[in-house]
Amino acid sequence: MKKIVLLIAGFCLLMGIAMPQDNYPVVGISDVRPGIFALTGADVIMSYDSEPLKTDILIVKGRIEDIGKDIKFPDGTTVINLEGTTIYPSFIDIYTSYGVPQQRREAADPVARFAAQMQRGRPVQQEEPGIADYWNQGIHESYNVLTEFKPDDDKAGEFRKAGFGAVLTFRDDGIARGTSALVSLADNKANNVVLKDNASANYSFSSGSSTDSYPSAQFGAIALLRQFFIDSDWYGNLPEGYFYDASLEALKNNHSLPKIFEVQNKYEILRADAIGDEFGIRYIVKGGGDEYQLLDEIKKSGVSLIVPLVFPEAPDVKDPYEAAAIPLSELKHWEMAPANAGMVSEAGIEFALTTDQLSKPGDFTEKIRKAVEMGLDKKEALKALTYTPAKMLGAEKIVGSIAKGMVANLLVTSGDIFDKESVIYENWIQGKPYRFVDPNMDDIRGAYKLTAGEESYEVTIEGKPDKPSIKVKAGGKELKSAITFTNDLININIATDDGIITLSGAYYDGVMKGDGLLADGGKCKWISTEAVVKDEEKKEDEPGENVPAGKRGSRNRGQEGEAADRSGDNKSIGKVIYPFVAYGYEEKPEQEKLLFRNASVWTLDDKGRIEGADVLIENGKIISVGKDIQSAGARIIDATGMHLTPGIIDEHSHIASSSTNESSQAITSEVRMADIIDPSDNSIYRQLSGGVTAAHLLHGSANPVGGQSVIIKHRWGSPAVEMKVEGQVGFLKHALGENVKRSTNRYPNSRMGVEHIIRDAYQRAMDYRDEWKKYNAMSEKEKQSVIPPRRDLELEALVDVLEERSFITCHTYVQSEGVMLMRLAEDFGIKAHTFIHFNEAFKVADKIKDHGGAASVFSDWWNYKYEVYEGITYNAATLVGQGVLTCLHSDNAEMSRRLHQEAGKTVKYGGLDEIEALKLVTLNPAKILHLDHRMGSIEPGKDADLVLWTDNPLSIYTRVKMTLVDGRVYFDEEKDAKMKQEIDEERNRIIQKILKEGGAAQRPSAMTRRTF
Amino acid sequence: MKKIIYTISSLLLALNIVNAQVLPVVAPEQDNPVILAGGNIHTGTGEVIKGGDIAFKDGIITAVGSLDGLSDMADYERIDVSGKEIYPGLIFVNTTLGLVEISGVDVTVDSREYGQINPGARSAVAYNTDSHVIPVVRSNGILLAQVVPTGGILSGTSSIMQLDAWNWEDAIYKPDEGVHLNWPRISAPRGRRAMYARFMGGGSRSSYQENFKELTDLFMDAAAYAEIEKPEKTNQHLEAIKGLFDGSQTLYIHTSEAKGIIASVNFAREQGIKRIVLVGANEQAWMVKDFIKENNIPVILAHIHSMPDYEHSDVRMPYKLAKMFSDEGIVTGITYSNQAYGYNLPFVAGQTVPYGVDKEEALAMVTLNNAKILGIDKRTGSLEKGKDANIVVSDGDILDMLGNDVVLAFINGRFIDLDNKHKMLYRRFQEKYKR
Repeated sequence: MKKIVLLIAGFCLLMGIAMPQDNYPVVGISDVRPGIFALTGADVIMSYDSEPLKTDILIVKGRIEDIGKDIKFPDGTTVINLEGTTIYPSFIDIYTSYGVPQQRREAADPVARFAAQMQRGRPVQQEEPGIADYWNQGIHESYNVLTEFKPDDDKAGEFRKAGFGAVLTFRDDGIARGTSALVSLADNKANNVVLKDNASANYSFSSGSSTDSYPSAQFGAIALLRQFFIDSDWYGNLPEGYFYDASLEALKNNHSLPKIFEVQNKYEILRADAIGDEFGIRYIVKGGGDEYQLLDEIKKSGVSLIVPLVFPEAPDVKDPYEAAAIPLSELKHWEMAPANAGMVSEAGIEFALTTDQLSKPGDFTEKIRKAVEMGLDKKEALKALTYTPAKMLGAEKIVGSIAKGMVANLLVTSGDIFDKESVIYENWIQGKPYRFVDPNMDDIRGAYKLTAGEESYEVTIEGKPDKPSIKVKAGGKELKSAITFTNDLININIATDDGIITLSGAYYDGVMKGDGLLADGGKCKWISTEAVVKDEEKKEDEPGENVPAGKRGSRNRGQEGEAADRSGDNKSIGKVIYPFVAYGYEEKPEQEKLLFRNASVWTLDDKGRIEGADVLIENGKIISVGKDIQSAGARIIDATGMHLTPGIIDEHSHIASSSTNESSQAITSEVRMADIIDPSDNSIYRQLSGGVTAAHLLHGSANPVGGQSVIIKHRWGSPAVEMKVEGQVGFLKHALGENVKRSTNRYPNSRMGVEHIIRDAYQRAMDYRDEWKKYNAMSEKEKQSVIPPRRDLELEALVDVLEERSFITCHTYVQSEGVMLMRLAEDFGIKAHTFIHFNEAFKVADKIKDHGGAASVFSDWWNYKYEVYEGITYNAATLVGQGVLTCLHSDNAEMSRRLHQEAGKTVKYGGLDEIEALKLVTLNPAKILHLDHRMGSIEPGKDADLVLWTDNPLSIYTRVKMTLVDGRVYFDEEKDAKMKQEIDEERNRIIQKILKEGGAAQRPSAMTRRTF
Repeated sequence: MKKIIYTISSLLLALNIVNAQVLPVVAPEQDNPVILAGGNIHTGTGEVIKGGDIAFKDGIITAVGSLDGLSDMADYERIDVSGKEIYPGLIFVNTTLGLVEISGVDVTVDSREYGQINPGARSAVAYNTDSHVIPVVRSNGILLAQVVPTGGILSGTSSIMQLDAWNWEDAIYKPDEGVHLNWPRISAPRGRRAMYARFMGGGSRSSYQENFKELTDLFMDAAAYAEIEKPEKTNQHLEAIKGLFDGSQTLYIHTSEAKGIIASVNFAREQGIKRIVLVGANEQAWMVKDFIKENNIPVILAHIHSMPDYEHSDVRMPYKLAKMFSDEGIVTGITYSNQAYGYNLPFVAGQTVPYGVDKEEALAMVTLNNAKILGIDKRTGSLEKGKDANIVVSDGDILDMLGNDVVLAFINGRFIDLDNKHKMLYRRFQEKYKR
């Protein structure tokens, strides 16, 4: 029987089997074979949710013709007895670029990504694409992968070996990547392997090979995608012959396709989902393998996932000094990543698995088995490799299970495919078998006693069953040796002290024997019989087990339980913390009812500061402030000798954001900080330790008009969307001076140009608003006869400023440009709302006051560039003295956590009184940010964002005891010390685990009996 | 360009405000002996003398304590400083003050030389006494600075300058006192830095070995060279570091790695270098504190107002290290990373107080300890008889911004004008708003 199987495999690979459809002209003599196979006697798992069933499968011309116990095989059927084997539907990977010419995979390679960022960071003027396609090269919606797809048998072979029968293939280049195809992995003509064209439309946040400088950052990519989808509405209403855009044209048709979005990490999953929600799209999101760190939110988002099995290598912890630098998050991720798929599954999120991000598809087998060992349910694993990916593409009637009429993609295995000991014998794809291991091959691995002539040796055979390796010992001494094993024939060489002995023979009936040549030229007989292993030795060899030599393989699955037991230690893993970095919380702090007793309370209202006062908070709000407050059930905090102040608000910050600058174009008002909040930035926690409770996250200062900012509260551990302060107004970042004119490849290059381009932008926005006003005033009938205006997100953000839904916040340094901006704003009927940095504001404080602007400045930074050569430490005090609404900001994650000290400096430089000084970092920023109705002072009804200090908050000698946001204690000195201890313990536990595992790997590898 | 602007602006200033210049005038030598009477004297040695007096003559402190009844001080000019705080002038170590004017404007930066091995690059000759930054920094009580070249492996030779002089020659307090060695990185960098290194194709272990070998060769040659009385061929590199072998110069080792500390100190010991200082002691240095202690190496702490080194670090680690090192008996000095904001030096010392350092000990970390580290503690760093009259008087606690208000300062007894560009610009525009 074995021979027959081999023969079939041979000719199939050469000739191919007739496909159901083919229009290829016959060249030479036609050679069409019957292509009818019956696979009999195997345990068949029809689909992920069915139990194994002993049944026969009839395959005709690549499809499953029939299934059953007593089905009739037509004449010409090759019957293959697969008794003792298990048959599964072949796997499907819906995230590959199989058969697509290599693209720049910058997303996957961090170095390439870094290089691309460096490159793209340099702004240049946008150029026209030159063809009738979308203006930005990151958009390739009209691309279809079948214009380039060519079957690649080498690559297909790797996938087939790992158990895959079909893959979705797409070109991973750009933000809109065009459409994909579902193809089989058979070695056949492209025409024959395509199972489904336009199987999905694919997207990402990465510009890929685009040479446009826009977008240079993720929020730019999001903005571009948003504009692209909006453009499709406009495009759909255009009369014929008016404007053609290949990508927008393609988008019309692609709307109905499944949409796959590639992201790098858990937060980006939510970002992809958010942009999907705006346009009613439900994405299938290909994640980065860290989904377990944010399961609740991902589940809530409703996305389906494609999950890679990418497990980081253990960090090198052999050197304690170097190990000290390895972050907790990296150690924990190393430990938990293999459990990711299991946790995703348990959370009830629909997911498919992919080989993506593995260095080669061949690594998949080991990874999936590891995932199963770490808790992924086997049924769920099979579902994620068969049914789910097929269903995601609407291809579940073609592939993903074994049923009549479906493509004959079958896996023949030695048993439970997710068991470590199992092997894949064959992978049938479109009715063609690909054989990897002979199901009847002997496994000779094990321990033997070998006698050759007078001498005897201890022999251990290990490695792969078809490529074994050998170790030989004599008298306790290891001897150099080699083995080859082909179809039961054995050749062994052993280097003894006298010379090399060569042995040849065969394996049968559990014994190896044959003839040999001794070192002295003498002939000998040799035989090896299985060694008897003593109990003691077994124990020493933990975790492996030294078993007697392999007998002819019996296909039992008795090893399963033992395998699981052995790895019992590895399965216990730490807990997920939120966010997934050191000082993340397992549980979010409770909103408490708290009574602060006998503090020096800096109310910052008209009372200023009250000595020996109490403050009661409940449900996140301040309830009462005064002397001798009584309240039942409140936790009392004795604040005697301490100071209680409102939480510090950092008016200018760049923490907690994945992007800072969309540095490409001069006007990028369309980008939004809110799109890319990064709640895992540990600056948030560090700033809580300095009393900061809120921050205004701004776009950088690379452009005259940057992006829309967002205000967050330091709700450490919350997802991005919950960090945003509710009901905030908008702010739009503007920038003047050196930073924006530095890019010589882009307009502007001087302060003249800066004024000019901002003026132009607002003028365009005015005209845009008028255009829409005019259109909206039309009757429905009139509207029919005109082309509707195109929505432009860049201009809409400026219209928001014109209509005071959003406000100018402008990076300014020298007095001339500050005055310029005021006049420019006035020309458009608006205000230069907030001047940021403005080191020379003290020179024009009167003008700012008259204009009604506010200033957000450094306390004492100056002199780091030419435009701050005249910055002075007395700036803030001068502004306050002239009645300008002023605050201090950090613009720096480190300085932010001691903004209270910066406020203290205004007492020194310019003599502000202490109440006014503290207002510079509390009430005044709240006012500037239009949040003073709920933040910035201690008054009943306001948010319980409070800081308890050991000393005067303006003094260098103070320390934060406790920081609350919304009445939750997010920082507490004692709790912090306890967390630090737990962090150290957790790090040590994982480092020990890595060391132990590393140690185990250096011992002789464990020998187990395989079942073949 | 700059010159023209400031010439014009100085003209305008002269027109508008009486007595205002771009820079204050350099103080003349002390002519009359002075007694500062009735202040709280923080000697820098841990002691506080309440309501004490301090006398100095010809630039030297002649008496500290209660001077009632000392008849030989009749000719002293008496300045009443009762209720005020008296301190030793603060010492700003490891700074580019005077070498860097505007860090973002390349042509105003004179702190870094081309190449890796530049021991002979001397900071003193590039020190710009007319820097607008110096008087601003000085106004908060900083009177001396160790001016240090940066970059490369051997950055150059530092000198200690006093902060009120017409020219660099006049500013020298101790010339060419130390050589600065940036110990090559041993461990592979991590994170974004690693990415950058890989992108640039560097960051490998082999480059460390090469650098190590180069340093070994250089120092061995220098030790041999130092023994030749009159070399046939003068070698500037070897000449520049020969003072390390007889202890006339200090080797300042800059490293942020625990392994780097061990490797570099062992290296320096093996080369027979007498005086060694570790610059940039951080959380990694703390891991090898016993080694530092055993080798009796003084440390200058890494910048205190910085983020903790690691994700899992104690969030306030940079504030706590001063207490930790000093409790080990290691001589601990404090500096400030940025020359232009050097006026914050007293405050970073104060920053250690809520984390356990005694106030007078914190003061010592920017005065006497720094003097010890620089090897000038016999001349300055504390208020003791016989030392240079480098004295600061503040209205309140100099280490706290709520107290720091320096009203008088003396360098070698010279009465320093505490005006500066910030104050001048402040006054100038207060004039505008008065109208």
